[in-house]
Amino acid sequence: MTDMDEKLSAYLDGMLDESESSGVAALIADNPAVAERLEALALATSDFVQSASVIDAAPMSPALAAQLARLHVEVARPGRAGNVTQLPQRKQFVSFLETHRAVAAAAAIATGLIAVQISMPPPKRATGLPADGLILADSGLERLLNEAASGSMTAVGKALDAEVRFSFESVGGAPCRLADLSSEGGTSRIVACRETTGWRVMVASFSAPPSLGNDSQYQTAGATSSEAIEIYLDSAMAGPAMTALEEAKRISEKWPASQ
Amino acid sequence: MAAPEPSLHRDILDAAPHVRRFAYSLCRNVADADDLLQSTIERVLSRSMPDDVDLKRWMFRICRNLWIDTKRAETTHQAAAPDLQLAAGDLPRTDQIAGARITSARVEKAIDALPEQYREVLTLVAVGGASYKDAAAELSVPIGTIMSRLGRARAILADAVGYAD
Repeated sequence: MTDMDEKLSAYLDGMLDESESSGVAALIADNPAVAERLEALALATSDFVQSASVIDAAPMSPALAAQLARLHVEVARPGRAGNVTQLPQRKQFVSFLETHRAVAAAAAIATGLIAVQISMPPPKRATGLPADGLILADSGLERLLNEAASGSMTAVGKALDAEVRFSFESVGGAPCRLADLSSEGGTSRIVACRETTGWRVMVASFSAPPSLGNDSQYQTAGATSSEAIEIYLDSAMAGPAMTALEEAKRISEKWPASQ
Repeated sequence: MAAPEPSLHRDILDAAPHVRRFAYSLCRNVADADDLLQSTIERVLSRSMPDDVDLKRWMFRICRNLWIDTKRAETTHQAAAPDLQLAAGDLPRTDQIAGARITSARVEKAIDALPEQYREVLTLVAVGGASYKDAAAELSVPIGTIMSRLGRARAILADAVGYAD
């Protein structure tokens, strides 16, 4: 190395004082060999930095990936900033509809299906129902939540299948149900709780189909969105899920709230 | 110990890709870099951090210290089992294979061959974004030494790769 390499290196880093920097700049302008050397040193630095980024494409070790996943879960816990599941109730259903409609629009463009729009009413309708998560009476979704036993697949709209996964009681004493809605455009997972005015969607997530070519296979919500739902369930469930017997009793009684 | 703040978790997640590059730049091995990052995060979560310090720079520092500890341990291990080390050195590493797709094999070879003290200072400044003053404090050497090592590091790489050829 020469003193010139050291000076050019510091020039590249902007670490020379004004007069030194002016002197080096003049040398570079006057001497092609110096300019060429500066370029070589700059390329060396650039390649060195780029070489470090090679690791971006390498899979993480399982232990590191698990550690980062735990941090993600910590960040996403209810009541902490960055979590998308804890929307104010009146915004939850709007968000759910927006998500589902966006997917439905994509699916409609791709396949011509409008199943989701049919089964998901707009936020405001002529009936005056607010866009606050209330599920319309006599809709396929309401019938599903009222009548379907967990584990049974039900068609709730054109090209939209649904399955209640389980029922539980919330910490506030309301009966709640977790259901998956599946169409070609993807799968939405919702948690709806029974209120005096009807079923209200408390939280929803969506996942697109993981890949093409398996559209005959029923898909559950993806891991990331399921994680968000699970975080919600952690805070909302008063106890374990209802047994089939408890659930059948609630269905026959039309889902009264606990006393 | 009080539970770490959620904002710390978020900041760690933001810094993690940068620290992973930094770690890889130091040790030049994906598995070792991941171990270093994991240990760095564990250290950040388990110990208090000065209030006025930038988390990413703090993680760089911890990462580098852990790397030095690892190097010391490796030196001891190599002295005990030189034949094993030689055999492992003959095998192509996955990170070397991946690296060849992005930068030329000649560049990778030149970086691998760069003496540690030069790779370390170039990592601190070019990858970690440290100023000469910070790098000097980190390495406990005068700023002039940082300038000299950086010039030398770049010159060795440039000559080995042959950019001017």
